Amino acid sequence: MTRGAGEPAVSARGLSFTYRMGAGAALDGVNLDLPRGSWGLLLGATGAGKTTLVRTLNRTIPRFHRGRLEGSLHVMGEPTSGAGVAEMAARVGVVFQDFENQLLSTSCLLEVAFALESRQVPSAEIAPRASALLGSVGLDGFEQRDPATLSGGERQRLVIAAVLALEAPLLVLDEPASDLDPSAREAIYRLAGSAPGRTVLLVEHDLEGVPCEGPGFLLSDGRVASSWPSVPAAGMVELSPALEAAGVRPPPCAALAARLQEAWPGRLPRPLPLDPEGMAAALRSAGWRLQEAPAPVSPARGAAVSRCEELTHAYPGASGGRPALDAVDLEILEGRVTAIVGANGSGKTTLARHLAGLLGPSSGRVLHRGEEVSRIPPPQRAARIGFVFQNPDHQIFAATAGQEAAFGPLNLGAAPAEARRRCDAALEAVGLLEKADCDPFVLTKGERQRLAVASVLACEPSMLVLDEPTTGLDLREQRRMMRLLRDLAAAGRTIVMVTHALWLLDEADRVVVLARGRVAAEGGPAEVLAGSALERSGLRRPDLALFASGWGALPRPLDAWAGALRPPEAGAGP
Amino acid sequence: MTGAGGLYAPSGSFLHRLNPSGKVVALGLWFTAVLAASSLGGLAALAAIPLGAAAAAGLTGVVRRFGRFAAVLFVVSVALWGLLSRDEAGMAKGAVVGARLAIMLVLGLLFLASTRVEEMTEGLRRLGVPYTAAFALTLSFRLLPVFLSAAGAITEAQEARGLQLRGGPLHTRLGRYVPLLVPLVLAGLRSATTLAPALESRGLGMKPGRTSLLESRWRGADGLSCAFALAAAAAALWS
Repeated sequence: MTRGAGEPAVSARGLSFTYRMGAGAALDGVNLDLPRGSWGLLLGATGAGKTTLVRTLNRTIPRFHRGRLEGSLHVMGEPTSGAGVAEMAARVGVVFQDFENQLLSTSCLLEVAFALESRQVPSAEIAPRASALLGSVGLDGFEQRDPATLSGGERQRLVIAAVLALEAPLLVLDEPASDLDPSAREAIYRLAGSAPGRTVLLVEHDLEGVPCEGPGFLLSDGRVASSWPSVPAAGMVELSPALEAAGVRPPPCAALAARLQEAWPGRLPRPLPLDPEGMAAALRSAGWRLQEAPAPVSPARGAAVSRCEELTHAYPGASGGRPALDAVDLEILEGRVTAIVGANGSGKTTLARHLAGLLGPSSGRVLHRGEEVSRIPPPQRAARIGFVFQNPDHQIFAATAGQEAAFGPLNLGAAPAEARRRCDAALEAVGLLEKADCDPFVLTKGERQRLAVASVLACEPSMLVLDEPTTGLDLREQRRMMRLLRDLAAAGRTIVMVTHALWLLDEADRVVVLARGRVAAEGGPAEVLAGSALERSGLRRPDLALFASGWGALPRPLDAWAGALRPPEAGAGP
Repeated sequence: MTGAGGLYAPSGSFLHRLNPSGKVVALGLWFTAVLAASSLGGLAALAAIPLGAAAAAGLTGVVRRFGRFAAVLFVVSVALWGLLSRDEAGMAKGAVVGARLAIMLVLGLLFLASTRVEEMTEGLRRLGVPYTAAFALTLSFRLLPVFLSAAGAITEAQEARGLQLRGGPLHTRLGRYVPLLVPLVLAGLRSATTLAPALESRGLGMKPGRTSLLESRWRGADGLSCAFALAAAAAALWS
């Protein structure tokens, strides 16, 4: 047993940190205790200090990120002061949010082997153990693949396997689900919690599908705004308003229960199970009714602006033999928001690139208003179809946000005054007009993402294709991005977005589900959420869709549920 | 999508199966031989070695990819020396230097195409180079694919906004590279600053020593390859 075996896995007292270049304290007197063997949650919106706290745990603060560190911090019973990062790696394994930057090997097997080699695991044991770890994150058979050829979600799982190889007693996952589909993320949680005695600290801003019975710490502006040692059954209902206020998304059923509790005090059945099917059954057997029939779903109609015909795409050199897209037939309707969903590696990004003409088909064709889109010369194409890449930092280069947004129109030959007008209109649409003179790199991730949208909008394309526009954004920013896309569609633009955020599907007009390079289903969001296509495609249906099934009703957004449920003997309205 | 931008060509040829430490030593000896050889005849004989090895290992594709570059190296060298000295001896000297550069380029390519970065690191470590130093020495080869894939993504993002790189006078064409270079340099800086903490977080330097997944047994072929290279170096040095 190591020293201090009875002490918490993490113990912080008055922990404060101010980045050398930072304006204020990123952490401001944090006190917390995470018991050993527990599954802890560190929650908060972007900028609350979550990642800063994680950095102090493995000593990358202050070793690599300079600034003023105060207070005391113990990890696995030992003080951290003076320890090096590599030394801490034996105690705490961290999967950082920017997982892309954590890959460094030429094959998946070597990537996972790196930590085993550092730990001096005997050479003969390394390959079987590394293979087993790859299998545990669902990457069986990926041993010889080059990490650079994996999809984003596969790469994220690879980093998780590489960190698990440290076998550290404390595992910290900083928003590990950001690039994972819901079923992959469930598998990661199971895996993280599987080692007996391991302590897990999960950093999150979205609790749907997250096990949250353990201790939790809600950060806000660098302070612990509230914390709880464990969540008793139904305790999440009481916590959920505070979570929402802090920019954290509570489990949807808990949030719904909280709304019902507020509208109908004392009328909820007790105990109320908080799993979707259980909660629906409990409400129904207590006599609750679904007041309004769901509004008849009008199937989204409109002219097809883009069309894929037998679209097949095979990447050269990709192993497995299966093409990334396999004879896809699809229509994109004008003026609508179309969401493309699917498990990691199902071909979502490839399809989006084809719709924008960035790739040429291996066979079949993609038409935009009757023209083959990959044959339209790039400048003309940019004026017709905009593509917003997943990483805004791959395109931002100008000194100010305004210049960044004006780049497109100037490229397309617009006169300076006209470029200025388009740039202002685009910045206004994304809510960044007042930041036109800011250096893009002082903007938040969400703002940079919106700037990337503005810089494409400024070319005034009639169709906009976005690859994961909400990844890495906190809830407020995600909602804001969705509202922006809805507004653009309302103004007549056609929107196609690739997304993992199934809870945002309510905001789409049409949903296309991809599975292994084929269209598994398409239709209105309620229809797709109610059907079995998501599950068949390896995705998990959102909690509120499962709740709807419990009522035999069509899925709808949270607030619509809150307004439509009535306790027994209640009238039409509260 | 650029995919893997590295030069490694996984094929399992006899060059791939050679011990990486032996390959590092042999490469050093071949470079010595090439640098010591001063006659075009000797260099022609030396050039036959990597070309033959490439053919035998099925790596002629890699050589062909850079063949034009090797030819340019040779021609530029001959032209430059000829221009500076304005006599035949100068041009002959230029031919020797150009041939040396071209042969070393091909030798290096064969090494990179048949050796994983990790094998290079491990090969150096087994020759007594400390692991962190060996890691640092081979780091640029690790980062090359990352850098190339970032460059690909950035080019694509700017072209999607209508950036045109071709056409127009030179000075405006250079200006058009600014939207590519700024994000690329920033991406490079970011990966440089995030790499060190990421490596240490993954346990680099956790213990004084390391074990290795890559077995590197010393076989007869490795002895032969080194002996052959040694003989060539000796012949070149004392001829």
